[in-house]
Amino acid sequence: ATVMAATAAERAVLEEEFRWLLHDEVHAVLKQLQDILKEASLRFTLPGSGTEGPAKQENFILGSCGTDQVKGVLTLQGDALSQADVNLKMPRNNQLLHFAFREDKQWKLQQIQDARNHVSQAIYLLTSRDQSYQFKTGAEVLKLMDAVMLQLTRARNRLTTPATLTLPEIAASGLTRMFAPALPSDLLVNVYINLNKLCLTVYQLHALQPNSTKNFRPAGGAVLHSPGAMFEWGSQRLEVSHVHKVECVIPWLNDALVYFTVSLQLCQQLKDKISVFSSYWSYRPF
Amino acid sequence: MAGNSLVLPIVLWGRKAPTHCISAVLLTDDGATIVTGCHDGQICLWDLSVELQINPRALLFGHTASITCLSKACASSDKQYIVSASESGEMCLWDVSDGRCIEFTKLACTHTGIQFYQFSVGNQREGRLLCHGHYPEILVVDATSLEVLYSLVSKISPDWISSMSIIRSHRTQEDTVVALSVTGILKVWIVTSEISDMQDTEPIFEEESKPIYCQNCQSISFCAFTQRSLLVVCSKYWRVFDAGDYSLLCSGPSENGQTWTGGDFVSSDKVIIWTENGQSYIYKLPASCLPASDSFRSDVGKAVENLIPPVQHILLDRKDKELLICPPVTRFFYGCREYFHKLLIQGDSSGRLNIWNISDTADKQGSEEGLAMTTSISLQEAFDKLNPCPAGIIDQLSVIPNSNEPLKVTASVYIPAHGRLVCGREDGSIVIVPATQTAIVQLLQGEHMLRRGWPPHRTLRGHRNKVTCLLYPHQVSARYDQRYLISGGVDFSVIIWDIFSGEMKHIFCVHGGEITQLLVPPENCSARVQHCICSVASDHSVGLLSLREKKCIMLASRHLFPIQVIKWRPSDDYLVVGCSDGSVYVWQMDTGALDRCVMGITAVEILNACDEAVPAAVDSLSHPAVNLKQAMTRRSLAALKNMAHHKLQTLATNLLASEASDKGNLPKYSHNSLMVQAIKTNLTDPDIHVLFFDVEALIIQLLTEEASRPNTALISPENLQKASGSSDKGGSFLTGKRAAVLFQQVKETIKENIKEHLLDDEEEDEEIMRQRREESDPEYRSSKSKPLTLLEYNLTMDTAKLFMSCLHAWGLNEVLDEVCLDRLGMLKPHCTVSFGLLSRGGHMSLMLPGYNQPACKLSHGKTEVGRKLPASEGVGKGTYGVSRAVTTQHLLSIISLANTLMSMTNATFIGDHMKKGPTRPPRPSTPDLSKARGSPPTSSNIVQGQIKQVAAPVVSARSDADHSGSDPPSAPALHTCFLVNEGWSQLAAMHCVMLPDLLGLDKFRPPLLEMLARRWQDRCLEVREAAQALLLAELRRIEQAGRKEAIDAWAPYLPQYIDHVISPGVTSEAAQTITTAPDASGPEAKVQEEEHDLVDDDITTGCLSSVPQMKKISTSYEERRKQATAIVLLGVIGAEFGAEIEPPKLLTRPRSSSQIPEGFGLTSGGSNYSLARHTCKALTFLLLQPPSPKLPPHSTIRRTAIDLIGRGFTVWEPYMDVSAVLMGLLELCADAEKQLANITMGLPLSPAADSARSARHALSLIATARPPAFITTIAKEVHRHTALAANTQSQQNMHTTTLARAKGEILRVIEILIEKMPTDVVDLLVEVMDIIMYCLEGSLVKKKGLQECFPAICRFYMVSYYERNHRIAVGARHGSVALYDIRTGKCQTIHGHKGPITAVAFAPDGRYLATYSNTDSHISFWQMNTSLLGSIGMLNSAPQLRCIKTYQVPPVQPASPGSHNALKLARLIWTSNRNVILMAHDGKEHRFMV
Repeated sequence: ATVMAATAAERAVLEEEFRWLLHDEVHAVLKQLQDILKEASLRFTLPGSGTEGPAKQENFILGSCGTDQVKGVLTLQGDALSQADVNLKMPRNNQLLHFAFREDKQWKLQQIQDARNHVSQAIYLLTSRDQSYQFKTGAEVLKLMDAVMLQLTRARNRLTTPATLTLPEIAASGLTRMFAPALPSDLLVNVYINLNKLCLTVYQLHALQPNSTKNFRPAGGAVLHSPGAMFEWGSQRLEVSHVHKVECVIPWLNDALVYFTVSLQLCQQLKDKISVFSSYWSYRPF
Repeated sequence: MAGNSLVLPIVLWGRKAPTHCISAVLLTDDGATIVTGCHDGQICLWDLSVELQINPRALLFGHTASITCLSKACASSDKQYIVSASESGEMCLWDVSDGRCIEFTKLACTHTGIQFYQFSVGNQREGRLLCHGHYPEILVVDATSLEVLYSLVSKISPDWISSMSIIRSHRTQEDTVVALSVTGILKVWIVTSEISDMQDTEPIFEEESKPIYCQNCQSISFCAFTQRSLLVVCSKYWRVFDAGDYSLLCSGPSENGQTWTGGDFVSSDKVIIWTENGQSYIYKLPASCLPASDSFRSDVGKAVENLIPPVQHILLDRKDKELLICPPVTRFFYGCREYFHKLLIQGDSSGRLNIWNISDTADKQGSEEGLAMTTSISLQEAFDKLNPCPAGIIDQLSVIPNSNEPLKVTASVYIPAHGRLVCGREDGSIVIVPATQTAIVQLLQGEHMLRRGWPPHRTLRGHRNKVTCLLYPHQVSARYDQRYLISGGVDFSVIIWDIFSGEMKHIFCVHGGEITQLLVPPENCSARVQHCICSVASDHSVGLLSLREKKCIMLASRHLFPIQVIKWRPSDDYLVVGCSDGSVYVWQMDTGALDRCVMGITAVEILNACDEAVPAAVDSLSHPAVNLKQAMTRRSLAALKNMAHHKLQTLATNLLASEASDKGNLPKYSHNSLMVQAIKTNLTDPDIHVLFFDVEALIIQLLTEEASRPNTALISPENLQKASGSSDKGGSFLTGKRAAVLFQQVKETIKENIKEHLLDDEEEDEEIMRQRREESDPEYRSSKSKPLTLLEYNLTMDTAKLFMSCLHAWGLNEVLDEVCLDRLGMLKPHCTVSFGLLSRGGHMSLMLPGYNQPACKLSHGKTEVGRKLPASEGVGKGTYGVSRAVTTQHLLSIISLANTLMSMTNATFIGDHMKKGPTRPPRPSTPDLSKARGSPPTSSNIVQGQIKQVAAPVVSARSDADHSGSDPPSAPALHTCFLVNEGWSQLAAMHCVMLPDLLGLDKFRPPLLEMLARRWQDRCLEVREAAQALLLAELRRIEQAGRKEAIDAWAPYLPQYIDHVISPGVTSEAAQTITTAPDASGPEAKVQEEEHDLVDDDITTGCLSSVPQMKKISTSYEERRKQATAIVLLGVIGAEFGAEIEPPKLLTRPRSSSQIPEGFGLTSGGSNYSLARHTCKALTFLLLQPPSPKLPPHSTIRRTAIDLIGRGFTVWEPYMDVSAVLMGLLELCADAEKQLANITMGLPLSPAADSARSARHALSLIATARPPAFITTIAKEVHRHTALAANTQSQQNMHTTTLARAKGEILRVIEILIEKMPTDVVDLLVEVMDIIMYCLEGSLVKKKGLQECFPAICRFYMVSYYERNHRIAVGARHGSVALYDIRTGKCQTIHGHKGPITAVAFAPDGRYLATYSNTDSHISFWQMNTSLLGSIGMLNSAPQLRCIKTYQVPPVQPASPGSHNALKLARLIWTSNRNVILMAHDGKEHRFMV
């Protein structure tokens, strides 16, 4: 009997605590989340949000710590690359190759747009439950947190895990057709975001002889293909002979990633706090 | 179907309805079904009656994430297909009528909206799905194959599309897609032009792009009434635009600051808009928005914000609203079903559907009180309404004293080796029960209902709160002790139990949160880790708990996010933990050190690398649906492994049975005919238990047990008695060393009667109570004292009993029901059994309890509560009216099982081998027998022909017993045995042919032809026979018109093969080049590979590779499957109903010309025969195509082709290269003797043996249907072959040719021909002799004589053999005599008679040959050159033969005109070297002398 009484008192305390959690703590966390995410979304300069003119341009000089065979200057305007200048020193004859975007062309970095859209969806979810909304159950909060976290994880994943592409996919992508003068047929270019960095990869190719004894095995999808990867393009079989990768940190992407991580942790902590109570009220909407 | 096996699920839902937090709603076009998708990934189908009553019908499983959108996927009115998409990028195409998943695919991106659109090219219609989502395009997807065809893209500021609508304009005949991007830019694409050529995969760019400044757009809809306006609903306002130039017509704000979530046009002048919390408002549009009014567009360009349209109606919500945990989903639908309807359907987070009928709002002008809801029902309400309540798996053991809700089962694991189910419950106790027995209690009526505490069970108490997970490690790996059961609870503890003693071995308390998962490390870990299990807890920690050392050897904690996946890298001693945020932690198992923590690409790569290392140990924890899918995949893999095991076993069984050796050594076949899988739709739900019955495995188990029984039983009555005696003890079941050991252990532990030390007070009271009761009630005690072993009953038979009882259509034939209950021991179900349907790739549809309650009759359901078991209504026969796919599977199962049981001795579910108890005395047999005989109402010829009759040995055994007489008890035993078999036969007959009549066509959904066709050559013989019988019965039932329909439906899928049947004359290189070209398509090979993992000999194998001339090559599985099905189905129809060139002599099945289906007619009649030709081409292609990875030599499809070629040879003959086909068949059965030698039972054969068997059967069929064709073709081949053999260069490979290897087979067929169609053989006797001479070993004939080597041919009077000089004389049809010399193999022909020769005979000394022909009535004598030198000298020259005498004989009159008599008109008998007697059939003799 004493055990039962103790638990009854305990229960009362717990319920009080839970009520506080629902009514005060949740809103505090939501407010905090909103602030962080708004800060994050400010980093993605939204071109469509205002009519104050085109978004500002940022120049990034790409290089690698090792050799300087490839140098690139990329201009980022919001989520699109508006200009690109790539200099490539051919390894064999030290000949210098230069190519740039055509004037009228822009290349959209889908990763940035997706991340931005996911964040604004998360913000939309959060604002729909403002201070005036009364949470009645923990399940409700969990559901909201799940939805927000899904958007945030997606936003972060879009930046941290660039798409794995096969070489024919890279060859078919519109990026190769953006340049003036046109890219030589033995070059492939790919641009992507990896974490907080803007990366440019240049693949040099050579054709495999049709009667070559080399075992032809087409390479699968990868973010960065290594030399020796083979693929079939048109009627030709090609092999990657050299890979050059250069990159540059985009400071505001770094900030955004930090904000994502912090807000994800906040969400998870709130979820954990609520879940603690679930073991006390099993099978009840708590 | 998962893989290829016939697996049927039965669900025990329990009283709590599954969580169904609705995320998407759809009403099908016919208005009869509402489809809802939920956040957990399930899809629910609800029947909607005309009176707007709703009844949930089925739950579809397959998606692993929240459903984002649903759409119709088919325009035709006779089939209702829907497509669903989930958050994780999966798309599934479902058939609404039966819940089959037809096609599925997965893309990297998430779709948030799908719209169906039908393109038409000429009169061809192509369904397309327009998808948008988290990507800046609109993808156009094929609606049948779910392949992405092309996309609609934006040139100007591309961004995600938030919503989309298709505008059909009758004015311009142009369809446009209008979409709004997330940034508020309106995009317009014109889609009509694209259909001009369908191969075009180039993207289409937008026509127009216009910012309309709509933030957070929720929906966009086109007014179907005026076709002039668009409604755009944003979260805070809604706007109406002109659909022509997209100018703003009016705008309305939100009500009281609520958030809009969507809207639609209700009529030309009204819109309905709904909010996030489920409120809906109907607005009347101002005149400026109405094209009909004069002031249309009068406000364009003005400040329209001031003009707020008035609210006309408010739709009222329920008064007693449940607490919702997320916003409900609302959609508006209008359509026509009996009358025009406009429905607003809303689904919410509690699994509730609300419907407002708003078609009658016009006459209700009083808007003050609002519009009341028409219907509302939640899943839980539907469950609660039912009586009896939906059963849970152990409800009878979980009754709580003061509550009518049983304790919930929170975790469960099935131990197939013991047939036990272990259930952890919410009070912390764990119950172990025999799975079949507890399921029988839940589902079937019987005497067990009266017993208390039944079935025998054991309760383990140790956890203080609910049990969250259970693991039986021995099942995963044999390295673990088979006594150990591991459980984890919400009380943070992990407990090791001994399941035999019920003892608690150890408690681990290492985690700081409830245990969420228990796992087994892979095989190649370090020795220490191998004896650990891995536990995962909700405090984001992972532990390795050693069962041997009884301690935690590693605890990996401090993960920031919930653990989503655990992987292993045993070679590096790494434990890899994947968290829900995408981060990966790598732990060293030995030291417990964190090696590294990574994110992003590296994390993905590490996880993938682990998959490569240990592919089997993939364990995803987060989602129950994922687990289910994996479980199913694993299950089918396990089933395949078992199949491989069987093949060995089959051999072993047969050997053992034949030698009657010690059966104790026979390895026991593991019991996987029943699998119990617990599923949770949501993590917080109690378990739902699905019983998977594998029909094939069950058949095999039954037959194996039958084989391991003393099989001499049938031969003599004494043995029979012994057999029944031995089965008393459990028969074959207790055999096996391991079983014996187990049994011993169990016995000992029961004696000790260990009590758990963690019993709480109440429990102890109950224990005392029980003891008291036991003492007072002897009967109770006796039932209680029954040891808790499960080895007491026959698990296989129990499984069969449960399954058959659930499948049988009760209440249709009272006599048969009686037989089933009394004689076969089946039990009637309590209530309707919830079956399910498995589709490919782990997709599953499960019927909800009460699925068969017509939606409109729910209210009547309550009145029936008082009546006890409304047996006539619903119970039993219901499942045959659910859907055609379900009917097919159920009929296949019940017929194949009934056939199997029929072939067994005394396979009844009553009796000593089933349970302990007083044996029922065998009934007096004769009256019963007569009654049983009379019971089937229509025993037509068809029935007789199709249903396997009672096994012949049984009948003969019975007559044996009757004759012996000395052993009185044996006779009744045999009688019951016979009666049981008779009962099974009736059961099969009823389900095979009588169901449509008994049920009535309105309640019977006929089986699907294509599903039966796919099983035409199932690897399991019993299933195969059932499928064939059913398919033929169904084809007959649907008659001419139905068959024509089937042909019309399937003919388009028939692949058009290029005509390159490989004749032996053509070099095989030529054939190779033709076929290799289409084979080399890369992506398709990949598809094939993955397919192969699960579907080892599915019918689709190798179908696409062979279709170079299809209009478009589709890689879709369904497409390939349809081609295969079309070949089989048309093959069957053609073979069974097609026109024959000339009626075969043996078969007497009349085929009136009116019955011949279009396309299978005669060539001469000018009718259409193209189908017959194409089908024949396809079949021969499949037979003759050289084996390749895609078309393995012994695949199902090839076997089917073989079978159908044989069956329909008379139909195909004109279109095929007969010699190529015959050689192909001979090739396959060349080694048949070896493979089929010791296989007699219905156990599955190896694919090679199986195709040999089919080929052999086909050959026999061809030969008997068309003896001349067979004989002449083979003779031609023989001649060609011998001609080649004469050529010395090719001498080497002569022995390896098909013809050489198939000699035995050819002889076998010839023998059959001589037996069955002697006239045909006589007509071509010389050719036959040529073949025989080729096939027989010359030396053997020399040694033993023809009579011994091939006795069959010597029956003919026109064949004579003279052993001394090894000559054979054969009288031919056209009056010549062929003389063979066995030594040289040469043959010479002499012409002597004007008509067919009736008899030939050599004189005893070989000097003379007498020949007689009845036609010209002459007897001739020929002198052989038989000098002593002859035998040597004649080696190189033909023997000299000359006619020395001819006598005229009065002709013999045949006794009757029958052709058989013509063969035996007269014979020649030499009485001495010079005297011969011509003996006529009527006994007249004529003597002649040379």
